[in-house]
Amino acid sequence: MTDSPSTEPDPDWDKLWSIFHDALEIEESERAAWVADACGDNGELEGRIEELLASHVATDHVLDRPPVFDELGPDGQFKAGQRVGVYRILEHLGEGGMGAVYLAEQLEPVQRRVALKVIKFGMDTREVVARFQRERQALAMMSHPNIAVALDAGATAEGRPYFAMELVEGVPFTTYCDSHRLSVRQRLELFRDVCKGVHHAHQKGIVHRDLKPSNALITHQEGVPIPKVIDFGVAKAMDPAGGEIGQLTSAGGRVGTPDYMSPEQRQGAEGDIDTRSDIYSLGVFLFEILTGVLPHRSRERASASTSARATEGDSPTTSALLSRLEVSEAEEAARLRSTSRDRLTRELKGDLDWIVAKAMAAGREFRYSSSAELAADIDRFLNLEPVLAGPPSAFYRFRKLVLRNRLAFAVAAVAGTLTLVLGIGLLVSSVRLHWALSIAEEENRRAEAVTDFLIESFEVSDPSSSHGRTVTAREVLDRGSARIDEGLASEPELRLRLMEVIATVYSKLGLSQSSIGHLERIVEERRRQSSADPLELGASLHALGAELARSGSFGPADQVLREALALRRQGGDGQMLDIAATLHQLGTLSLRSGNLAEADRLLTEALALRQTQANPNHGEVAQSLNNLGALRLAEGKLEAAADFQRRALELRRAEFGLVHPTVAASSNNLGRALDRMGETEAAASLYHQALDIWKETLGPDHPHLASPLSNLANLYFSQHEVELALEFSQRAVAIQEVALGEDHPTTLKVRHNRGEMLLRSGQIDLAEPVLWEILAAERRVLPDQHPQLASTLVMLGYLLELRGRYSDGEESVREALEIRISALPKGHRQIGEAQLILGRNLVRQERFEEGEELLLACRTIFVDFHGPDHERSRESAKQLAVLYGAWGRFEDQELWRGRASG
Amino acid sequence: MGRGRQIRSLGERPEAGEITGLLQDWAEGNEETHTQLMELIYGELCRLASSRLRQERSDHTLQTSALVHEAYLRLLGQKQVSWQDRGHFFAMAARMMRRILVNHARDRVCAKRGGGVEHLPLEESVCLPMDRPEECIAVDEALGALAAVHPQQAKVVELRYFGGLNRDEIGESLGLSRPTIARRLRVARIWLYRYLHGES
Repeated sequence: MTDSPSTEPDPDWDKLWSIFHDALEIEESERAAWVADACGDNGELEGRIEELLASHVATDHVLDRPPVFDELGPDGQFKAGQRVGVYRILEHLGEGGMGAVYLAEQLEPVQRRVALKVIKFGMDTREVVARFQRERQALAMMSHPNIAVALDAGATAEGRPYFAMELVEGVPFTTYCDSHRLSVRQRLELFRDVCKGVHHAHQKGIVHRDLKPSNALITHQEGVPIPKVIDFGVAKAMDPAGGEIGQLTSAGGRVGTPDYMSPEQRQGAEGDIDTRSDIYSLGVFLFEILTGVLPHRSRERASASTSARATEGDSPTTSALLSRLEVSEAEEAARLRSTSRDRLTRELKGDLDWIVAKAMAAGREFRYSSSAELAADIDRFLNLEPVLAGPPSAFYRFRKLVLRNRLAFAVAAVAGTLTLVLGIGLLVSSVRLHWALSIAEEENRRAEAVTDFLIESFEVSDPSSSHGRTVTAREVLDRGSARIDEGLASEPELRLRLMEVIATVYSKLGLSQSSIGHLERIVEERRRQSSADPLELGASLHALGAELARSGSFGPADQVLREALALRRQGGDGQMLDIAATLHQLGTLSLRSGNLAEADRLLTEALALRQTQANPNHGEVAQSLNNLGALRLAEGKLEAAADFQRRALELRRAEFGLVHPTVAASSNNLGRALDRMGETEAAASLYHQALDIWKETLGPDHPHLASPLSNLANLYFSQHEVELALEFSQRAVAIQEVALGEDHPTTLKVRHNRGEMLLRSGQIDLAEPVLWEILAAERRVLPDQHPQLASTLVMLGYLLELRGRYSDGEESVREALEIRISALPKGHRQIGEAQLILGRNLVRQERFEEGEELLLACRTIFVDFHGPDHERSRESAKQLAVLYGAWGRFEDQELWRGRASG
Repeated sequence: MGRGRQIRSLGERPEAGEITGLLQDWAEGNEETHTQLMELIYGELCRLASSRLRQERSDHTLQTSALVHEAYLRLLGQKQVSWQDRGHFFAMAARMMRRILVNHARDRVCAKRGGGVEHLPLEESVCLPMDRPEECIAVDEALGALAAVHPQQAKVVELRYFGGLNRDEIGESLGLSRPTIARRLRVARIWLYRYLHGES
């Protein structure tokens, strides 16, 4: 009988199954009696059947549980106790347009309560989560009493996107105000705090996109009501990138709430949404909390007509709307504000009308330029001072003001550019200084041409463009570059000089490739000129070489600089300073590519030339001392390094005074040498000095501050003050991102360091997204062979190895190794580092032969470079011991274990 | 089996009617079409599972039977199909559903063992809500053991548990009567219970 699960001979077998099957056809209540009857006096058979029946009706049988389940209960909600990612649902808090909000408990890596917003289906979850991840770092940097940010995003088991948000226990703004019958003044005070929170976010580059009273909760802290704006980071993640019009949310509308949306947001042009869109929403917010109704309430609210109306921009004023309301409605609004209808109308008329109108202006250039400005105007109103916003008739004057400011801006920008050029000239070489000065010394006509050119370039750009200074400046330069080609064909020399200016500014903005492109064209044209002055060509080559070096193209840079050097040496004794400058560049390049002996030779010669001048330029001498100090540091000769840096510092103090940017640079560098010597206290003090001087001389947001901040971060990191370290590194990143943009090479360097800290402090989950972002940015921005890219790849490779993703890790480190082998001299210790990590990875993959080759290679490098007792040498020995152990070559294992322990 | 055959990618839809021809080919003894059929059905099931998860629907359910039936409708349409073809289809769909579920369960278990917080569980091509992936794997293994002694019973469980098919559909697939199916399910049920609870 094929249906029976046994083959052993059993006289009762067929009967057993027959009775069993029949029994299951019998009502359960009568079953036992029926079985007893059917078995007659065969008690053993009856027992076996009862057993079978018991197993069959077992309640927790796997077959009764389908392998997949619906995560939502019949009510469409998660049940309390259910897990969503690392969160456990505690309670359903409410439903919103986009989904449900739950009180939940985060279980790891920290335990805390969060608000979990689970979005309905209808969006591409992966995209939502990816968009959130892109903003994650910026969100993590926000910290303000009036805002609550999204902490995490992910997908539920069935793929619904969710956001975990800082839990705010409070009531919506309007509900709170109405139930406490807050007066207009009290409401304004709370609203002002909302503006402050929003401003903080705007400063970090985060636009909310869905500001409205229900997204501002009022909490009580020690009896004081505090508004908190929630959902930061949510709307942006929910909004499709590129602003595809027609991408709808499940609620049937665009992300954001139509009533509060700015006209540009409603039109759905992604690139057009900036902080001023939030200002508009704040205006609607303010309108509503003042009057109790929405601005467009009196008209049809069909989305098409709202869209048309808002574009026209004729929002009714608050007081006018109040007079349009039914008397009973207006009286109710007044009652909720503890006042009378007439008083309320009077209170709103004038200043508050104007403030709302200015915030809600259809043209965003007429709105408040920042949320802080709006808050300040509210403050002025509360203090009975005249407000910035004026009646519509004042728009004319306002426009004038803007125009005046624009001109002022243009002038300031020109001055800024020239200063920049001069500054670079000082920093990079005397040659640049000559060029820059010669621009100033050009005959009048030319000077005017330059000025006109710059002013016109700046005028065509929109100074209030949303994307920060970098993009605007870039636009200016791109336009300027095109204009040079068109407009200055008849002035070849002037044209070349302007191209030099443009190249320099591109370089300063971190747009190395554009800068190199211009410099290459300059060199080309100079080579073509029949009357070519070899010294001019030398100068151009020098500039190109310096830029190539900066962008990490060490090979080409070396070649170009050597040609520049040869040309300048032909120029004879008059060119000593220029020769020194090129020697200095070449030496610095050798230093950076790890060719220390060559660097020593070149830098020392540069220093000698500079010192033996009849009238030495102390700034340049200090620069040489500085780089020689850096060289000694790289050689590990710490005392000598500190000595050079101390001399540089003294020279600069004597030359420029105690408070000067270059003095800060020397303090910072001396700090690094002392830091390495273990004199952390002195080092920290020098870093702080550098920080203070730069802050004072260059302003609190200058990118230079990032260096001491990073150094302090590293210093604290080495002392295991991880939190402090991460705070400093975060400040460094923030400064760079604001000053230079996220993708500037210098910013990338700092972000890179931060990623490394996260990784090394074991915060792998935080480190991973950061490292991927950095890698993507570095691939975009840096040349393929850049050492920093290699370093990121090494870190990622290491991280992937930790994650057990060996082959991904291998791929990453292998790419790094290839870069290092082609970019660095043979036997460079960074090649060893990559080999060490790759070798260890291969051991994990049991690819022993390949692993052995790599580990032996890196061991040789480490021993040659650091000596056999260095930590890296021992680490490589240790990994070799591990390798041989896993391979079963135990003698070798013993040998290497011995070497590992010294 | 057609090893060298180009396997359709998951996103690519089979042409309407194609599968009927394949089913007939196969029924006529062309073994090569078997792999092709399997891949077709596998791809369609994966696609359906993912797309269902992306749609918003308040009555949203994700039961394996619903997936199998939807795949049937999509691949075979409203065409008149012989009951043998229908049965073959269900049998293959259940087998593919099993493959999908068990693969997914394994991924889930691996991810759990890998430790750490999983931020993006969406990297897999199919994302299925699974409460107890370990259990799904255990059933799969138990079915393997059962198939070694009683392949017919294992087949019934596969259709029921992984394919989510009802008794009539199982009967159609295996060409057996309803009472026979019921009996086989009962015995398999006991066998599985004992196997999974460590009894002989």
